[in-house]
Amino acid sequence: MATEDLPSEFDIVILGTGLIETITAAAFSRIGLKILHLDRNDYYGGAYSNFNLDGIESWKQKNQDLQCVPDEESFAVSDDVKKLLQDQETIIPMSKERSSAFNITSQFHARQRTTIEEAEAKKTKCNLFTFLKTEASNTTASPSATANPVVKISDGQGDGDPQDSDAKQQSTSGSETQEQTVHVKQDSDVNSCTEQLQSSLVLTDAPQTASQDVGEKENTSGGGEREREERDDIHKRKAESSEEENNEQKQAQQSLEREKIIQVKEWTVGDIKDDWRKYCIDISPKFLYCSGDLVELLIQSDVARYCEFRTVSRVLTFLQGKLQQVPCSRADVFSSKIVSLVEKRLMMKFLQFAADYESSPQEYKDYEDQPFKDFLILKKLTPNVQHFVQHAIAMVTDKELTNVALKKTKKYLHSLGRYGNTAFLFPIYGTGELPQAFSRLSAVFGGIYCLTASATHIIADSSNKCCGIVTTNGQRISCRYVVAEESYLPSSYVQKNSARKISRAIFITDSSILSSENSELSLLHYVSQDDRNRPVTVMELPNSACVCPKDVFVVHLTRESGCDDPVEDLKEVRDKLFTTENKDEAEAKSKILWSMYFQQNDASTVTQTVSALPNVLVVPGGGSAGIDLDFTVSEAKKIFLTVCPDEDFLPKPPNPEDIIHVDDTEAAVERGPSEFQDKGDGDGSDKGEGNEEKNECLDNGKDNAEVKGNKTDGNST
Amino acid sequence: MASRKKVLLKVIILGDSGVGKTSLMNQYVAKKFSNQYKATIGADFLTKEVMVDDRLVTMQIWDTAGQERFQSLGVAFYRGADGCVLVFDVTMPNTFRSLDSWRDEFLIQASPRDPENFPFVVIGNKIDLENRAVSARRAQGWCHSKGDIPYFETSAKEAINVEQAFQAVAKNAMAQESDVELCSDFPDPIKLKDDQSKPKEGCAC
Repeated sequence: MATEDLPSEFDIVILGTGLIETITAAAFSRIGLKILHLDRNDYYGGAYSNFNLDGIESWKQKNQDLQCVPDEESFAVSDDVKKLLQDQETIIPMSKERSSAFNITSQFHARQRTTIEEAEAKKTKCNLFTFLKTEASNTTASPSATANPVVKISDGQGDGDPQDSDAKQQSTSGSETQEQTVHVKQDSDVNSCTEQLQSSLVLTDAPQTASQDVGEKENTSGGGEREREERDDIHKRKAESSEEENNEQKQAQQSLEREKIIQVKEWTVGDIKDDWRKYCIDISPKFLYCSGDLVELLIQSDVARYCEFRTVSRVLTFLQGKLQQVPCSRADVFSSKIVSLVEKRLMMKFLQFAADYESSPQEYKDYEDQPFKDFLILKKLTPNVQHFVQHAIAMVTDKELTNVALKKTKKYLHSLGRYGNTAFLFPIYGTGELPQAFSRLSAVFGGIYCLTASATHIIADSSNKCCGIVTTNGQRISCRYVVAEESYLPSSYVQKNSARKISRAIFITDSSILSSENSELSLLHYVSQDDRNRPVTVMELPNSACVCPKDVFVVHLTRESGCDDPVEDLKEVRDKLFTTENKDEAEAKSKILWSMYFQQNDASTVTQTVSALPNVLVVPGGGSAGIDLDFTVSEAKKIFLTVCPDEDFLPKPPNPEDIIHVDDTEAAVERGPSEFQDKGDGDGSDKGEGNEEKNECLDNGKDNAEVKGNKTDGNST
Repeated sequence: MASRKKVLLKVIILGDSGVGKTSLMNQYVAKKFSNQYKATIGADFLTKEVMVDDRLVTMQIWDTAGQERFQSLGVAFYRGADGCVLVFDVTMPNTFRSLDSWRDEFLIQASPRDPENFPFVVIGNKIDLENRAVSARRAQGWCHSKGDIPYFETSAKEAINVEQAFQAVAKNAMAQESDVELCSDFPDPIKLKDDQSKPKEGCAC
C-alpha cells in the first residue's frame, strides 16, 4: 500500500466526490479524457455520503469542530507554493473546509445496559476488532473512518441471527470486557455516545450478536408480530366503529398490548451500539423516480451494474388524523377501502388525464398559472382525492401552480409500473452508494482517484486561465479545466442564489410508523400545520434496504427550515408519528431509540460568478430539500457539455468481456492522454481543437484496448 | 422459504498496484495475458461460471479498477463480498508486507459475519520471473498465521495455478454460503436493466 506521487498532468481536475462531480468524472473518463478526482475527506460522496453509526458521530464532531473556521478563510500563499509558479503565473487560494452542517445534536433515547447485561453481552460476542488486535496486526487500516456495515442480500440478511458464537473469541475478548464494563458504569450519560462508541469500537464491536441475545431477539420478534397484529386490529376497528366504542376497545386493547409489550425487549444503548457497523445513514437521503433521468443514466451508462435497489413500497399520507396508504396505481385505487366507488372513478379519470395532460390542453390551459389546489377543486375532485393527488402524488404545496404540479404528477405516474407498483427506487445501502458507483466507472476508464487530498490553490496563466492546481501535498498538477464542488472554491467564485436552509432529522426506531407484514420502504409527504408551505418529507427504511440491522428502522425527516432550530422545525411531525417514551406509557407509536438533528445550507442552486476563471467550473453542493436526484444529471451534463460540446454524455460502455487486451511492444505506463496533454499545452486550451485531440486520444486508447466490432456500438438505444 | 437461489458469488481481488490483479483475472476468465501494465484501464468485473461440488456457480470477480493506487477504494467496492483474493508479487517484498493491511482493510470494510473463517485466498504471482524475493515458505507462514489461508503460487503470464486459486476461493465461498442457508427473508433486490423498458403509453394506472 505504498504511496506514490500523483501523475502531474491531466485534462481535468475534479474536486469533491458528490454525485454531480462523480457523474461528470465518469462522463469525462468515458470519452478518454484524463481525470484526476480528489476529495478532501477520507470517504466518497461529500454531502451525499452515508455513514455507519460511528461514522456519523465522527461527522457530527468534525462539523462542530469546523464551525470555528471563518467563512472566508482560504489557504495561505507560502513561499513553497510560490516556488511552483512559472513566469507570469498567478495564484488563487482555495477556500478551507467549512462545516457543512450546523446545529447538530444527537442522542440515544434508550437506557444504558446494566453491568450484568453488559457483561452478558460481551461474553458472547464475536469481536472483529479484538480479533484483529489479538493478531497484533498492522494498524494502518483505522477502524474509525469508513467502516460501514455490510448486509448481504443473497444470504438472507439474517445478520442478527448469529450462527455460532465462537468459543475462542469469547476467551480473547474476556480481558477487554472488564474495561468496557467499567467504562459504561462511569459513563451513564446518554450524550456521551461518541466516546462510548469509540470505546466500543476499539474493544467490542461485533458483526454478530450473542447466542443469548438470539433467544431474546426471537422472543422479541415474536412479540413484535403479535403486537403488530393487534395494532392492525386497532386500526381496523377504528375505521369501523364509532369514536366512543373505539375508545373503549382501544383502551382494552392497549392494556392488553401493554402486557405484551412489557415482554418485548426493551432496547438499551448497548444493543444499538453493538450493531453500529450495520447502519448506513445518509446525509442526503433521496429516492429515484423509476423513469427519471438518473435511472435512465444509470442504465444507459451501465453504472447500474454496480448497484442494487429496493422499491419504495408504500406512499403514506395523513388523512382524517390517520396514517393511510395512498392508492396510486389502477389496482391500488380499485382495491382501496379509503376511497368510495364514486371517488375511485373520479381519481382514475383524473390520473388518466394527468398522465398525458399535454394532449388535452383545453382541460388545464386556463389554469396553468393558478394554484394546483384550486385546479383540483375545479375538477370537482372530492377532498379525499384532492388530498391524495396534491400531497401524495404531485407532492406540492398549496401555492404550487398547476403547470408545475401536473408535470410532477405526470412524472410520478410514468414512473409507476416499471419496477412494480411503485414510482420510486432506493439504492441498497443508501444514496451514498451512487457517487461511488459513478466514480468506479470513471476509474474503470482511467480516472485517477485520491481521497484525503485536495487543492490549496489554482494557478492562472498569463491569459488569466487556469492552467493547474497545487495539491494539499504541495504538488503542482497541470490541467485544462478544474471542476469543483462549490465549497472547495474561493468564495468570490460562488454565487449563492438561495438563503434557504434545510432541517434534517435522522431517527433509529423500533417499529414502523405504520406496521405491515412486509418489509416496507415508506415515503410520507407530511403537511405540517405550523406552515403548510414547508412540508416534511419522511422516509422510513427497513433492514431490507441494508441500512440498519433487523428489528429497527432508519427514518429520515427533511424540511425547509423556518428557524435556527431543526428540532423545532420537525417537532410537530415527530410528535405525531413517534414517541421517545417507553412503549408501556405511550400508544402504539414507533419509538425513537436514537436521534440526530442538523441543518444544512441549500447549496444546490449556486452558480458561477463572473470573477471565476473561465475554465474553472462550479458544481452545486448538497442540501437540497427535494426528494429525488434527477437534477444532478442535468447539472453534470451541463458541465460536461461546457467542456465537450460535441461528445456523447455517458454512452453505453463496451462489455468488459469484449475488451481485448492487446500486447504492445511499447512499455507504456499510461495510456494516450498524456501525449495529448503535451499537445494541448502547446496549443493553448482552445475548445475547438479539443475535440480533435480527444478523438486522437481515443485512438490512442485503442492501441491498448480494442473493442470487438464497432467501437461505438455501445451507444445505447 | 428455503428456496435455493441461483448462486452468485462476489469475489474481490486486492493487493498493491502492479502485482497482477487484472492479469490474473483476465487469465482466469478470458485466458488472455497482456504484458503491458496500464494501471488497470477498462478492467471492471468479469463473470465466470464454475462447478463447485456439482453445483453451477456464477463467480463475479471484481477488480479494483485502479482505485487502490492512492488508497481510495470506497466501501461500496467491498460490500457483499463472498470471497477475497489477496495478491502479492513474489519479486516485490513490499507487496507481500502489504497483505496484512489489505486483509485488515477488507475485514473492516466488508465486515463479514465470521471474520475468522472468511474465505480468503492468497496468491503469490509472477513466479515466472527470475528475481524472486519472497520465498514460498515465508508466504505460507503468513497464511498459516492468519487461520490457514490457502496459498497459491501463480504466473498469470504462463497460466500456472491460476485456475486452481480461483477454484479454491469459489469452493470456500460456497462452503460459507451453505452455512447461512441460501435463502432470503426478502425478495431479490432490483437490478436496473435495459430490457425493462418504460411503459409505452400512459401510465400503469
